[in-house]
Amino acid sequence: MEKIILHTADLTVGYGASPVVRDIAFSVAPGEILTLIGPNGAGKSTLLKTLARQLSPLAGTVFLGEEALSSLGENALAKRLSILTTERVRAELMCCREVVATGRYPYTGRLGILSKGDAQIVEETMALVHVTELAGQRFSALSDGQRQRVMLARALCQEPEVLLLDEPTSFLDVRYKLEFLTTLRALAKARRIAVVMSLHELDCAARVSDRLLCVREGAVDRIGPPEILTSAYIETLYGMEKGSYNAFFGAAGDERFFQNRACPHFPCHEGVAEEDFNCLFCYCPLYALGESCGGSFHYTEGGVKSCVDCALPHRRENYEKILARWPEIKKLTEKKHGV
Amino acid sequence: MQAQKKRTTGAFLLLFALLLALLAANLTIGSVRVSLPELIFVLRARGGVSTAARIVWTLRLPRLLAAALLGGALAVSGFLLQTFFANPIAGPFVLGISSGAKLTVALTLIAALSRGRVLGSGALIGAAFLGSMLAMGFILLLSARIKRMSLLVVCGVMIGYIGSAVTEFAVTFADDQNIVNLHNWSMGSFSGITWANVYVIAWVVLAGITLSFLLSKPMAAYQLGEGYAQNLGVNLRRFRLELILLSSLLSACVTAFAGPISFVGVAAPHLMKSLFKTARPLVMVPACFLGGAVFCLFCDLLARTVFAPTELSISSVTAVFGAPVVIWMLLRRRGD
Repeated sequence: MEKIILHTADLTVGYGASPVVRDIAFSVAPGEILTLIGPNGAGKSTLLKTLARQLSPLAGTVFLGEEALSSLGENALAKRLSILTTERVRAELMCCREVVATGRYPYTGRLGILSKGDAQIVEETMALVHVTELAGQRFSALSDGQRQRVMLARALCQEPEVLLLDEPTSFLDVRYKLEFLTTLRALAKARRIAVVMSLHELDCAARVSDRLLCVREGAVDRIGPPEILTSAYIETLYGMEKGSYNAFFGAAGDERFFQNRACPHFPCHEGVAEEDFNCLFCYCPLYALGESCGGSFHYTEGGVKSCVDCALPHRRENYEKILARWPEIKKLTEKKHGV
Repeated sequence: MQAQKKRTTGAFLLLFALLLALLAANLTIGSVRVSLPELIFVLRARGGVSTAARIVWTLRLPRLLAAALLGGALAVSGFLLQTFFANPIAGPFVLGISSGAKLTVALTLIAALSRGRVLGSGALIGAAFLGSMLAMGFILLLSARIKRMSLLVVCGVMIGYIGSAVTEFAVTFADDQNIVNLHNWSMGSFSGITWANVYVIAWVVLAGITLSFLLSKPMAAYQLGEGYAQNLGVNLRRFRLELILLSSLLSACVTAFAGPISFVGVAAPHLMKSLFKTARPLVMVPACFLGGAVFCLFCDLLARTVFAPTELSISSVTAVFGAPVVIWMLLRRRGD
């Protein structure tokens, strides 16, 4: 297991005396992206504010590395954790370079004057996020997409170990959304920054995140890889009518199941076309059938069943056939798990 | 970056030139004209026996030094309040802080005069500081309940009216002989400032400005927004307290010696921002100080000379120049 940079223990967050989310326990490793999802008002922003120490926890502790968040000095915290929030940025008469440069403040002296080294880091970070050409422009004159990239550069300038983002893609159109999240993911991996963010777009969340944390009804409902996000679960999470998600977005399977390329067993089905298995390994209802699933396969070194071909690939027309074998599958699964 | 540096240098040079020109003008122009060589002679001799020398040394010089220092203090106080409230029209006068100081100073003066005592500078500043803090306390109590800035400014104006009304009330019931003095002072004026006053003013104002300058870094972070400032390592509670104490101290010092002076706190920072094309506190604190000094020297020159020998109240002159500047700025800002 990799070193953990941020974790919580029995954390309860909220305002004043009223808790919003209780008993939160999770951890994030360097380079990992953890995305908070859940309905509006579930407490995602409250949790992020608590992680950024803008709110005190009602109970429990947030740990940054080995230390409790509350024990760190202001400047020490600023060097390790940075934020990008929905708070409107007041950047009166500031050009983008100046906005980005504010990220270096924790490293500067009494008057906040940048050293040569600081200035260089500012330039490098701007290049990294592709905002160099905006450097001299007024921040207030930028589009939302450009602003958000400048603010990302600002946050990265702080050279944080942990980056918290509250709905960073809210005001971006689809192109900027993809651009922003792609940049974010690449940087998180390259610089080993632990990212905790909230997102409303489930498709983006599933694609960009290593793990999802689902907040529902005042508690953490599930934590896991993006695959936990089935359409049935989305309906439960957001309190939607059964079947309404599929009715609107189309059946699960075409886009809703993802290949988890970060999975230690990936690729597990060399012989099957990617669009046919869509992480079938994790969801394959036939897995428990072993030899009698109908396809041909072999076992990998890790003891994982790797399919060469599939008798019933993940396609709509096969659903009936799988359901026909359901009693058999159920019995075998129960036997395997010792129920 | 390079262009900005050039602009900053140029603007500072311009301000210094204006300051020097206005200092000279304020010393030479008046009911008694003093020629430049004569002026230099008087300044070198630190006074003299001639009428001109006495006018320059005991009347004009302390008065203009006070006008410059207090004008600068007002502008910086305004800049601090604008940063604190993230509102370009916040200022000691607009938020009622000047009126709070005016009220306590008037009450203290009346109480002291009726017992035949003369108050020292320290007592005056103390009274004004108390009044400033009271008005500021009100504003802060309100700001905890009212999140909208525009409403807060309206409340500040109301507090200002209440302070002025109570002051007028107190002045009405004061002894006749006190009224003239109090009335002059409560309208705002730089006249009657002594060298002893100037020393006190210089100490208080220069200390206040230096401390404000040292707050440049957290102020710059705070300009982005509270959340970001906190994330950049600013201790918000302590920083806010420092900002309030400093801005109150600076504006209290002004009110204690010259009465309430309108619009300098709003107009001067605005003018400086558009002259320097930046809002960086590192530049703005010294710029506002110089700008406020220039603004007040100019207004005091007009107050003394336009309808000489009748002297105008400084506040009416600063309003004539300050208010249109504010309106113009607000209109232009919309278009940006």
